[in-house]
Amino acid sequence: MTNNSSNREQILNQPAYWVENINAFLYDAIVGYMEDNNLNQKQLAKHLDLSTGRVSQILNDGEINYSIEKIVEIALKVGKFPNFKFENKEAYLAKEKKELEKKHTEYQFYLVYNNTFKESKSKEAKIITLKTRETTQTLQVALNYG
Amino acid sequence: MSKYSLILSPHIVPTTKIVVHELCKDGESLFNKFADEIVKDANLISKFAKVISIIEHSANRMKMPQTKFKQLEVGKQVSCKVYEAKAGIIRVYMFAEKHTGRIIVLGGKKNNQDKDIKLVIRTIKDYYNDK
Repeated sequence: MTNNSSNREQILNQPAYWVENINAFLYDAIVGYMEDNNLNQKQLAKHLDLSTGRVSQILNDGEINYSIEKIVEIALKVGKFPNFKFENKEAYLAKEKKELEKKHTEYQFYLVYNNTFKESKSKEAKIITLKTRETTQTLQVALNYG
Repeated sequence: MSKYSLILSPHIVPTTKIVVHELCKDGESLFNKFADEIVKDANLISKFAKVISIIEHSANRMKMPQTKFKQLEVGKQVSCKVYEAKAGIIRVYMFAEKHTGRIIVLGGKKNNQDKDIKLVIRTIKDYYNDK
């Protein structure tokens, strides 16, 4: 766990990680706007005040490479407020660690109940499916009445 | 006792909508060994950080260009969806499992892509045979 934690910290200390975050949010917002408004690349280029070649490049490789001012301008034009914040490194890492531990506990719970479900399958049992809010994981709880 | 197990990926932010795991063989994450080597390489850590960000955004169901994240064409070799995330020469391979999420199998470099994909398919088959 020590190595993994240190790997994660090293990843978060790379500018490329955060630049890619901005790229990803902007790409998702641009493509979402294009789809929601049934725009083709030419119409999108006109709306964003960019050349069609540049729009094509953004849509193909997802690399934005613009100044902060231009990124903010594009975000606003596709209906998004580019809200971001600076977080204390230690607090951020501690928050991630706590969340990972919580998820780990949930996962162990899932495994235990999944095994209970398998064992109960042949018996008379009522299966309740619980879906967590933030994940695709499903907790199948087998209630045995035997 | 199954030789394969899963762990929640400690390399990925734990709050993604689709949970990301790492595949372990005999208790050791196959991806972790690659990650340990790459973070020590000053020329590659930046691309590795980028590919991790790409995996996180795809696991948050965000739209991604095919040049960064794509489903691999594996025919009928395995019944699950197999994905490749890439940044520069770094490649990370994973598959989707119902009720589990994404499972990272291993990481590699572009020059070993064909061999790595074959190994990924073989490992996924082995994982399901072992269940």
